[in-house]
Amino acid sequence: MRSKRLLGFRRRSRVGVNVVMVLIVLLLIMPLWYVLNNAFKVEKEILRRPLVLLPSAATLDSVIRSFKAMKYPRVFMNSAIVFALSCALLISAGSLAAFGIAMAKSKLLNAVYVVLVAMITLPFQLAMVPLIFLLKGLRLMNSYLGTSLVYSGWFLPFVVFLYTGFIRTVPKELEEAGRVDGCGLFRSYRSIYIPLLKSITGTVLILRGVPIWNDLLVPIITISRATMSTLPLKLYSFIASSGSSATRWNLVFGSTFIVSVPILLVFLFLQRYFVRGVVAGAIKG
Amino acid sequence: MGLAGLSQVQRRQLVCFLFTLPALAIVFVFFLFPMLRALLFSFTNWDGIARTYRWIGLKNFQTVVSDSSFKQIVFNTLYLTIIYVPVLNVVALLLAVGVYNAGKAGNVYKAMLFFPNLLSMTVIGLIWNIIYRYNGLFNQFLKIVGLKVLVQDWLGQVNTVLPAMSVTIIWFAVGYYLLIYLAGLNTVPVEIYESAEVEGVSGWQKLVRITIPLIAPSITINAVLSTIGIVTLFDLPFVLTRGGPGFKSQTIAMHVYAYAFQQLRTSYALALAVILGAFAILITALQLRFLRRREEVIL
Amino acid sequence: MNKRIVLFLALFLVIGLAGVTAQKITLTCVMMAGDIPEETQAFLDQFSKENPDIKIDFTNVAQDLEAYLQPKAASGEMPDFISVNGGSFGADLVDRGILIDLKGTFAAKNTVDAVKPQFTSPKGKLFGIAGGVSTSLIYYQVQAFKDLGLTPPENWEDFLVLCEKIKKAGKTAILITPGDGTMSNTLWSHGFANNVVAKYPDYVKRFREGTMPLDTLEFADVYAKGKLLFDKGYTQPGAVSTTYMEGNQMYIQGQSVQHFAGSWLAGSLLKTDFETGVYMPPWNAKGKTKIPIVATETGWGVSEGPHKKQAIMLLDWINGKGFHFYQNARGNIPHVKDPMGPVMLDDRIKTYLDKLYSYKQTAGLWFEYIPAETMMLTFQLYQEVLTAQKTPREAAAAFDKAARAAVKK
Repeated sequence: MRSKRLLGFRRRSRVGVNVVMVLIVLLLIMPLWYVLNNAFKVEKEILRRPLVLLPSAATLDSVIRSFKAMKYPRVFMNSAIVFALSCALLISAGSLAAFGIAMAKSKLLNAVYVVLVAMITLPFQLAMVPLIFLLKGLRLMNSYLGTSLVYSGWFLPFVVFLYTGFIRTVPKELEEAGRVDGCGLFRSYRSIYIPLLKSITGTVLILRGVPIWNDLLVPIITISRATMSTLPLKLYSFIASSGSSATRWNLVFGSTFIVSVPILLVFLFLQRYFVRGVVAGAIKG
Repeated sequence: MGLAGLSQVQRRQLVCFLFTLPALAIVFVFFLFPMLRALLFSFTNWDGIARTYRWIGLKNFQTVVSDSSFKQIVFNTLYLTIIYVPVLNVVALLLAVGVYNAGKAGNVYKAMLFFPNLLSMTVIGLIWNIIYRYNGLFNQFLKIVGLKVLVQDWLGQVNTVLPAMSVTIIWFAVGYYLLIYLAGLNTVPVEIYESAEVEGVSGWQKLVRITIPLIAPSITINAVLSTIGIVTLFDLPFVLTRGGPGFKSQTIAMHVYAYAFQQLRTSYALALAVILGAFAILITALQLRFLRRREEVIL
Repeated sequence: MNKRIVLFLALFLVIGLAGVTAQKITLTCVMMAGDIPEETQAFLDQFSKENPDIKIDFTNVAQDLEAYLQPKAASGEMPDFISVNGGSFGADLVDRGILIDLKGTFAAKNTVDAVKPQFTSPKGKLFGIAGGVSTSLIYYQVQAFKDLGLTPPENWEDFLVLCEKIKKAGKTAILITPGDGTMSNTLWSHGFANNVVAKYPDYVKRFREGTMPLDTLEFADVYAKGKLLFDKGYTQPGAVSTTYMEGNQMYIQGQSVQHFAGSWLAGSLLKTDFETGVYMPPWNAKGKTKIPIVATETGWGVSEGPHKKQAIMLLDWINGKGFHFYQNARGNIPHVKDPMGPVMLDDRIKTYLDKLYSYKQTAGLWFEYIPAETMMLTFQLYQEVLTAQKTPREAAAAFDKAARAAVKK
């Protein structure tokens, strides 16, 4: 954000705004700091002084034990594959469909678009039970593809909505120019639009990718094998665990930490692309 | 023009249609079709396992609606919708204004406010369960700032469990909606504010009279999205309170799961899911009508 | 940048696919490893060590075992080896051929007969091997009792007097865990045993047939007793939302004089810094004989499927050569005739057991006899009673309705 726009406030009160914002942000972040902190504490410290925020006895033990007990590498891989596959499907099918809808001057396709967008309001619970049987019938239970298809079916309406809004804001001249040069529609899609979609794709990855990575409901119903478990599912079986001995606390915090860190890092990497995309597309929908 | 021109248009439309096919196919097979089946089966007595079933009309719906917990879960869902959506949006908007005005540091605030949104609901449920415990962070904090009289069992009392849960949800979601509001704020031309400043309009009035009307589309989107989000909320109450105490924090979405996997009553689960779907559509439609009309008036 | 996104995603895919492997027999194993997930993994690894061509894919389900397994059963995706509780859920599965009959296995032969009925279906099939003998009891701080001049009470009235004395001394008298279903193991089951089983000794049969009268004063009192403890302030602050883990933690930290918990926790609860004793929960009225709980612990079952032979091998091992790995980790009461290894059992528990086995009439734990569909209700209704959303009688009526509806299916 390079603009110096102020919303009309004078520069003096910018300090005031910053003070308030810092306070609010600190308050908001506190629970996270609590976890970060306790993930590196010796177990006894967690119990004895759970609310002391500065680790007087730091250790990597909790994190390492959680890592092993959760079988982290495999579970991470599962989450990664489901994430990648779902995003790939959403981005490719979604942008293609949005392109088709935006480019066609067809009443039919517009009607299809309206129906598709309406589906954003439908709750997943409605499809939940029959989906189990569908997946079983297609032999897609406990599979990366099956889980990814469920996510795709669920989130494509929203993704198409985002892409369509964005594509509609692209000046028609661009496309006309391409046509004059003899580009077929698909060529036009590939060479002109795809490069333009970078920013909105970043938006899609954050708005839908993050919920997919963190989702609990779908894995609960599509995955029954431990080797196929995703991070949220694995964490759930951990924390709901009826641990009686003091050793469980460190596993709880350690595992919470290692489950949350990857996505935080990825966000920091992708976040620059986000606002640009949202500005262009989402609001005009 | 002529024949050549016509078929080119038709060819174009055909190609466009083909482009939409993969997405439509996936959505139909993995979303729409199961939903239609759910709708169909909600009128039968299929229990999820047996091979045969009978049509029984509205009996499932009757049973579900007359269940003693039904009123409570509908109330809970409504409560969350009516309280959470406005509060969330007001908070998100104010924070967006704050970030907007904070200058360069705004980017940092924006990112950090979004952090909670990056966590899995299991993580959030766990953290906040620990915070809300009687000996947890929140009560400790109250004691430190001298508000010991407010110390209570936040998640175990009937009148505090829903507000407490709402705070958690807002904590989680605010960053998300803030980003959308921020984008909306960025579309407002600076000149408008500058000329308002010249005319001596106060800060508050600028917000209410100028900003809000001009970002109406963002408000609409956020209202709809946050409503859908809260209506289908499952993960958080499931992990935070397990719907308790009793059914005081049970949402409709949770109850569908309960019917299906705890009470092993597939047909009731489907009926309730249909009710949930109808509810979601109704609320969204109402919202859109209300908000779109205001948008048109303003713009 | 678009290329970078693609590369990014491709990298994920490659890393992921690189991890996919091998071709041994893999047993899918879903168990309630509760307090000992690491130790459970350890002894499963031990089995794999002794049987190198069997790999075990272990998922730990912390709660709601039946809710977890139900969709798997419905779609035919049952794990090969599962934890199973005595009761109607497993009975139903074996009669439908989803679980196999375990009569004739080594494990069955090595199990004492007393723990077989709960794992036998109406059609006479043995669907599970008990994981141990279990009961719930009251753990207490020996020193605190000495300081206040208290002795373990023998009936409900004396128990209330004791709690009052502890409360007057400014301490928490007893910990309860209504935050999750674990409270059903204690308050609910003991209430039911002493109030209802006394009147209806054929309660298991009645539940199965749907002729168990529950909209009664006796059953309402099961809930009323808990409410009384709560209202009088004998329980810990914030009791309603206290969960299993929290409750155990609180006792270990000495925040309460007594803790009502299961015998399977003896492993950790008896190792407190202070001295802990145990006694039988006196939920009986003065002058009436106690009906204590003798029940089974979550056990194991084998699904019908291509890997059942290997799963039976695992079953026989856990109940035979490998038994002591399991028992030592848990410190629970053995159910086997020949433990085939060292058994770790605290002396306090041994003494308790001697007394326990001397009772002619005992009752099981809740999950062994109530319909699967009502399992969540036991503690949800309790929460409603504690928070005054329902009276004990209303709770009893609601449960009665649900129990009857479950059978009508």
